Amino acid sequence: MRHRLPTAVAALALVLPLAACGGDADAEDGPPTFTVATWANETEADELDAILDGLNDAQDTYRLEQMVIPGGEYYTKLQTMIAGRQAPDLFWLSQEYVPAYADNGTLTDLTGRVEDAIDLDDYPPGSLDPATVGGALYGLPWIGQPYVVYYNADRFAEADLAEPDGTWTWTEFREVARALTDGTRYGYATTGTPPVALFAWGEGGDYVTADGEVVVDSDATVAGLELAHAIANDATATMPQGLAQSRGVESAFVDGTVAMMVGGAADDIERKVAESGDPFEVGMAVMPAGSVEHVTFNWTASTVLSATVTDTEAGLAALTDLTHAMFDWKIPAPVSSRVGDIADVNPQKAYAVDVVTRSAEIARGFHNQPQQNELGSVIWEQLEGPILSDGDGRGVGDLADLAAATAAKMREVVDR
Amino acid sequence: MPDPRPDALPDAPTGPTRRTRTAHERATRAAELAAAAAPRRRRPSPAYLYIAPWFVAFALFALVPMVMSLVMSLTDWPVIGSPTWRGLGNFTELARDAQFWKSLWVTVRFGVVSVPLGMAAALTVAMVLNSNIRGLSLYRTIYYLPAVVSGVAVGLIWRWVLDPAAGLVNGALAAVGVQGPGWLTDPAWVLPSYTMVALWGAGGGMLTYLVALNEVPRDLGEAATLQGAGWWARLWFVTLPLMRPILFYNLVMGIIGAFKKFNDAYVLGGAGGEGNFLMLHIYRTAFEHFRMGYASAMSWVFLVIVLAVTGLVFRFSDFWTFSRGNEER
Repeated sequence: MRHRLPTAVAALALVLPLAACGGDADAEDGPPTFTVATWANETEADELDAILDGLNDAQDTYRLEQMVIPGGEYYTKLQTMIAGRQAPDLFWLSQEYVPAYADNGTLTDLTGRVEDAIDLDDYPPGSLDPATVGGALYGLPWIGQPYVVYYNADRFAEADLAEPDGTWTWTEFREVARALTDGTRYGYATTGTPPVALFAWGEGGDYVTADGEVVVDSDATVAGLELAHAIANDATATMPQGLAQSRGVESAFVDGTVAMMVGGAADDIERKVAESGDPFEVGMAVMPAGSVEHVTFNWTASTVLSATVTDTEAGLAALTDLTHAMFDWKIPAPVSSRVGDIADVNPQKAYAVDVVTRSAEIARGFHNQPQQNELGSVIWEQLEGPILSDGDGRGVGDLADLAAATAAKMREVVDR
Repeated sequence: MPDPRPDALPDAPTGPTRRTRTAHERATRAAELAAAAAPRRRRPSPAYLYIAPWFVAFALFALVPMVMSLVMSLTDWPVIGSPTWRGLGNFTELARDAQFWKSLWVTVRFGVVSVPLGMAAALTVAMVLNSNIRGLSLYRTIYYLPAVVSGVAVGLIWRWVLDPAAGLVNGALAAVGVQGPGWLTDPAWVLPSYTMVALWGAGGGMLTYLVALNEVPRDLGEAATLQGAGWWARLWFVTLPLMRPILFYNLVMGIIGAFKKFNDAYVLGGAGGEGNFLMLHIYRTAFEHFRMGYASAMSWVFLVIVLAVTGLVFRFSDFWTFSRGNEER
């Protein structure tokens, strides 16, 4: 008898944590409730909640609830939830993750199921391709940010140089950078933006083809790598890599030490320069062209629909409605008809609408593979990092050999 | 030889005079003894129930995951898909995985540099704080504070401190006309940066050294002084030998801590793969490269390596144990 109380307490201690593992049964009548996982920050989450509230009020087919996962742990939590059969119904995916999730059967194939609700032709190919895997569409991009060149217009005037008109090549870019370099100031700086792959694309090469074939060691790609290496390590045109890393490229541009930098079209460069101690006129130019192709990089992210959603019709309706609603948000929309809206989102970009529009037309992403993150690590560690830093100042030797070694490792990853 | 008679049992003293037992009392006492002597079914102690939550939690969150991890290490599991059997393929792949060995090398280099330096720093601080200075408690608290701050918070703070453009360190260097390095963006400076962070957190070990220093008998130091020993000789021949067990403890914990480095490395990173410590590499392999099976194999190899290194240190534990035998040797 006297042991009953402690026994009961101990039993309760056992049961309570287990009980806490349970969840509320979703037995409510009415439309299905879909969870939307995002990496929005606090302000963005509030704005997005308002968008979801508007959608919920406008129809009776579904209800949407936001689940905010901090950016740093977004994919870890997402993957753990999926592995635990607790996948959110809709979630954001950066472009490099789409093939892996599609390949593992996590995503709903949208091919032929959303065209009535959303104009896919309004997406430039460079925006929609990263959401397409093996010819099937797995996501609807909600943001697209083509890379452009920001330049210090005052420095151009000071050096008596004509401002770029969008028809320049990388060779001309390098000459301009040299003319803008003096004892303490540099024409250009980079620590990895734009991606080195951009130079390969411009020369007609690639790292991986759309079919998944590794071609990083092709002649055209090696020509692009040599161009990237030459520009990044030209001390008469480009800030030395170590200095660029310690100073930060954007900081060096804002304080006038660097005259040209590459960034996303929606980056808040103009405001930072205006608020700096020594403001200057900022210009924006389309990325220089390679000898074969005029192209720029496009960072995109998509909203996808989990394959675990049983009411697919309601899920598809929620996905397309949400995508439309997000085009009206403050982000740069990835569709041709809305590119000009960047001036509404950020009036300081009004001067560059034409440049952004042109950049969106020539923008593309990587041919991402299911093993993209692992490939990215290999590419950075073995190829791009050494190219940008000239092998930490020791040189990189024959770039064809470096590319061949990288290709061998990449093929090993792809073929595994 | 014990007396088997029930009435031969000692009674509790009842006072100055012994009371004679009644027949009823003797019978009751005999019955009690018989019951005590007879084999009976023992009831389980409620203590087991009290500790059961710990065992359940250990089984659920440690033992079962460990066993599952061992099974996973024999599969190819992309986390968000189904596992496929791979046998020992992960382990054979590991043997020729340059990235794995590089991350192990990064971790070992960090351990070799930071553990002795951290121990020396903690011991030095402890010796300073073992003196009679004003505000001693405040200093001890300040030096111990880093030990109670979460690793992620530490990483975030140091990311700002070491930021090449807007960081505290490079800002201070720029104020005196020195261009600071890219602490975490220049591969050559990554290991020194992490060592600096580790030294900042050396206060955790300080506390144990303080306890050990207080246990060093003062008379030994005084005797050594009388025999002409200076500060250094007293430290080397008296204080440190008597502190061997605590030095050994901190060495073992330091080695394990260095191998387990993750939180601040996850936040800080490091150029050229120099911040890619083994635990971080395992995490990335599992959750960024979608190779949970391969990461599990890495974890088991990692466990074996840590056990081997720790075992090696224990192999020489005699050196770390102060005894007359050591003295004679």
